[in-house]
Amino acid sequence: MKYGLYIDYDWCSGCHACELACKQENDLKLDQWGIRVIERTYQAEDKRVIEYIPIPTEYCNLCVNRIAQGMKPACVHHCMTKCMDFGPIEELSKLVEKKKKSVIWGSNK
Amino acid sequence: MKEIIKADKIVKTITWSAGPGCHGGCGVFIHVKDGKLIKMEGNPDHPYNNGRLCPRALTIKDFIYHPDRLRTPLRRAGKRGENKWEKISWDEAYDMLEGKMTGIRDQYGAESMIFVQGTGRNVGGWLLLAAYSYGSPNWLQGGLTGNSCFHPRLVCMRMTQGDYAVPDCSQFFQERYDHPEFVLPECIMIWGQNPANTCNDGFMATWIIDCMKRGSKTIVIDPIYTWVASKADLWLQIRPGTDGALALGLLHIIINEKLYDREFVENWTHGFDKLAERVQEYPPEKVSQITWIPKEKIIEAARLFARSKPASIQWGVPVDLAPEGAQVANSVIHLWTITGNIDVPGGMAIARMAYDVPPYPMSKEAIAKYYGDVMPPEQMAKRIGTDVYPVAREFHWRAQADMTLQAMLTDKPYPIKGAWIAGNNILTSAANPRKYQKALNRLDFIAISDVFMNPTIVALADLVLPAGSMAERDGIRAWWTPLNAMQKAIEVPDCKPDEEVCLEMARRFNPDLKWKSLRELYDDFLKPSGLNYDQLKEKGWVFPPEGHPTQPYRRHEKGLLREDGKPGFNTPTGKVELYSTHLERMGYDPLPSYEEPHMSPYSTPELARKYPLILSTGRRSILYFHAEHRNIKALRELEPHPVLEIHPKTAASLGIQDEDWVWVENQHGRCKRKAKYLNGIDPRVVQTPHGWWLPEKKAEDLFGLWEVNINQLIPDGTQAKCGFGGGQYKSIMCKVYKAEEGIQGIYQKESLL
Repeated sequence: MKYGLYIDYDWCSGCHACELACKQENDLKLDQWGIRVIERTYQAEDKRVIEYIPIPTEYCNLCVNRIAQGMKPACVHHCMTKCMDFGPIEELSKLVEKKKKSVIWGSNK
Repeated sequence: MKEIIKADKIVKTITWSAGPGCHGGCGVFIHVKDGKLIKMEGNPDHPYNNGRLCPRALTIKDFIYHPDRLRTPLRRAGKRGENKWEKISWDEAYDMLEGKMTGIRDQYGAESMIFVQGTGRNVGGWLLLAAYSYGSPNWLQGGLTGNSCFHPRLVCMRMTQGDYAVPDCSQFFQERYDHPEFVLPECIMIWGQNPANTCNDGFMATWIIDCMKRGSKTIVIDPIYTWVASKADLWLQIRPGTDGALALGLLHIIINEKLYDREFVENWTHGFDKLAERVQEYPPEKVSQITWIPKEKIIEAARLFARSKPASIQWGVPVDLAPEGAQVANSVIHLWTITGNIDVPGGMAIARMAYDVPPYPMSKEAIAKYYGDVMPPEQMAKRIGTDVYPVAREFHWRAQADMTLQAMLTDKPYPIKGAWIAGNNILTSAANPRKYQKALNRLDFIAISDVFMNPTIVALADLVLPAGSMAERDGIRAWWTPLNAMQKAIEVPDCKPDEEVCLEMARRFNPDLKWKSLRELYDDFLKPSGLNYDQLKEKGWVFPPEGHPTQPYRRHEKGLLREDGKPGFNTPTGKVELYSTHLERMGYDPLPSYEEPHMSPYSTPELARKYPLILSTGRRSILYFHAEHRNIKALRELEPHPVLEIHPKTAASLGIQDEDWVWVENQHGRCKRKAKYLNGIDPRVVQTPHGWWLPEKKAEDLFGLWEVNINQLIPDGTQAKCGFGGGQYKSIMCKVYKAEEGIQGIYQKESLL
């Protein structure tokens, strides 16, 4: 079974908790980040959109040690708006079917 | 991949103060290995945060083991400002503190010593204990002009409805949103608060976002188009400082269109007709002109809020900071009152400290009951400001900040000779900070307790006490609910928690003090809960049982709010007082009205020609808490420089590009900022965060304080008529122009080097 991260970026508030939770968990150096939140803003038909989108990086290992202990990855655990989840990609794909602006970040783990 | 280092113990506690810095009480697990904190993780079972943590909590390891942390008591060796210190032991520090303070008490009286905390951190209650045991009534949040942070809202809630209230987001129950009695608010009005960036006053702001995700509608009142505003059903882009007019305008529409809750108004309010008459002065057209919000939007907001049941209002500090902040607070209280949203599920829940346990007392009654016997009433009467402000005398418990500043400079009503400052970097945080420097420099003795060296310590301290972080403390916390135990996870040699220092000094100044140890004190304070500290520690946290006066709902119907046990609210009339009998008795206008900011395009048109932009300061960042955390590199990487948010059109008209360094200036002073384009701000308004100093710069230069301190533009002494509210942090005027150069030696992002 392959696992991934589900991110409902409709509800990401850009709080940076995932970035720093990852840094703490994996003891990353100052300029190493396992996930980064990008901000974008643009004009939609009826209003101006502000979006934050967390994107895992090269350093993301899906917190395999935590998973082995039955815990969620550090980013998912600490997400302030609970807009992230972790699980088998097959299950997560059911979530994205129902939700606009949600994505799965895959892995080969 | 790194191996996870296994902890040899995991300690269950909660966050409060040093570390994250804030007022919150998030449940955490501290992982300890060889006596050192290796990780702090959110506790998923804790009902406050349910596992979540913010960036400041997640970087606590960097905070605790920071190389610049104060690690021993220091006695000043050179002149104030020279940054020359002699390391001393804690015994020497205690003796010096006792000796100097005893000298001041003997020569001038105990009231000549002031006890200064900063924002609502856990040192507050313990500093009060030290102050009262010493004999001084002058406990205050120094530098806070108009006492304008939560206090105007607190005293108004107490006067008008008898109790405090907070938006009900199910926080009174372990099961949270699943509790059968909880009802999701149909609409939440978010008034001058950004729940994505900051939590306030015992309330985790993310709960608002939880409710939004579950379907609550929202109305956001904010000069800025924030992320939350972008998600809201309605966004009212208000002119900073005009909140009072908007509240009265909303009341006008709700009353005139008969959208209010008639049954509640009839049974449980006092003075509705008089309020209805007063709000006729604020028709939507006029309110639109004052606030710059389109009339249609004001009407739409009033209708949406009043037609939603239940509905609540999450308010932020701009309510206090508006001119006559107390009146603005009352207007907002009237909004949730006449719509019948008080003391009901999903509305404004009446909030008391769980079991009324008061480690951070927020009423005179709690202080009298738990701390009161340590100071005689005739001494209590000397509290600064109580002779001028009856509201402060009757409904408040701290010294008035602006008058304390005057007392330091003028020796009136009596000389101030010493200060014990705990967790308040006052030269960074105070309005008119240079005046504070001058005033504090007149004192004979200043002791400062903090975690890091900061500009205030360098400039003013004679004695420095290195404080412990939240991970280094045993303690108790009830800020609303639940009632929590804090548990020491680690020790950092030669740092001491404020609780220990304050109790030690309290015992030295009052040998009859009834508590000999912190354990005795905690056990005594916890009595109403039926638990002692060890039992509470075992459980971690507890909620009062259903039907307890400190648990919701509908307590006014059940007779649980008043001392006499009768149904009703804890006010003279037993009703929520839309027409305030307290204010009337004290000689103030019993009904709310609108006041224009002291400096604005309308109140000072001449000055506005010179300083054409409205400046709103104090924009919160989730990475920093007030003046803290600029030295935590992982956080600084994400927001390296103090910015000024400015509309691109305004910037273009001034020849300013994104990321240019600029001066922000008015008649009071100036400071530097880095321009940041922001599309979602009115072109007539600019916004900037507060609390900046530059830990990377030299201590002798006060860490670059005067180059970046925005509070130099904010005057003191603009408090409201009743002493509560006002202060121009949110609505001053300024001009902005390009700086010839940036700031030498300022932090540069590692990722750019």
